Amino acid sequence: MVLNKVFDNVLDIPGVDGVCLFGTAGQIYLNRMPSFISPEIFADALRRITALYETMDENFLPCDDYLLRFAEKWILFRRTDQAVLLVLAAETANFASTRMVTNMALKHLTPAALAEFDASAGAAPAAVAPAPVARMGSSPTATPFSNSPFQPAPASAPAPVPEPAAAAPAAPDAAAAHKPVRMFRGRAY
Amino acid sequence: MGNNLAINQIMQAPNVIGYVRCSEAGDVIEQEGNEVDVLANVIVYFQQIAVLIGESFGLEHFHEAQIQGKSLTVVCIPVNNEVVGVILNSRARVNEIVAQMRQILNLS
Repeated sequence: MVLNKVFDNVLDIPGVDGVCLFGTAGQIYLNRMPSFISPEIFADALRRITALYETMDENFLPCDDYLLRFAEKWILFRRTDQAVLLVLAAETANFASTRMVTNMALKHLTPAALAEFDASAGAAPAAVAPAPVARMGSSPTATPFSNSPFQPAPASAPAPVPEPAAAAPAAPDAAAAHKPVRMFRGRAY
Repeated sequence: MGNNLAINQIMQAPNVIGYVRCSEAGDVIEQEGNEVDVLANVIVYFQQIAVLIGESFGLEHFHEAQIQGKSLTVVCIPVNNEVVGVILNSRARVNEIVAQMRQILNLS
């Protein structure tokens, strides 16, 4: 799939730790975040990002790109019509390069490509499906505080477990099933 | 450095069109320029959510945000218990202005 190669290019940038692509309805199309980020925590992050977009769209200006810098890492999220691309990177990562490569990635995010993601990988629903990241004017009744981003996701909610990209073997043997999976840049090796 | 002097210095930087400083509670301490009224309404909430998003990924010490729109870029920097927001037009060299702001605000 072309899109997978495009996201490989993002991960190839030195310092980039992870990439995630999620839909405006909360479904995760692609999750190549570091393995230490648990699905529960990740669901909280998606909900907060959604709330952030919604708040800024309705109360400030509709902006698609946000860069948050922390002590040793930065997070970039970029929105298209149907999806949000999130990049987690170390402080040393070249931001200009990341923007350039993510520009290419976003260019490939056509409805057909996202449908292909749905069909092949299967988009896992988020634990708490966040409100759609709608642009200003498209959801006049939505309020940014309706699903408070300050509260963690309810414990009863099921955790979003992204389905593996490749179909599981029909009858995996027990030894293979218990073999620890080592991850590098969000991919098993 | 006096606050007024800091504002003047930041506002004199090329392509800076607005400046706002808010308390943690959301009160506007000082503002100058265009479009800052709207920014003042959301900047504290924005900062709080940014911190929470970072926490979701195990990140601490939020120290800067850039909101990039088509015609404007907003730089948000927490300073002690306050938040400073600066609005730049599309021609601004954001990194240079951020570095300049950090120097003016006495941030490392």
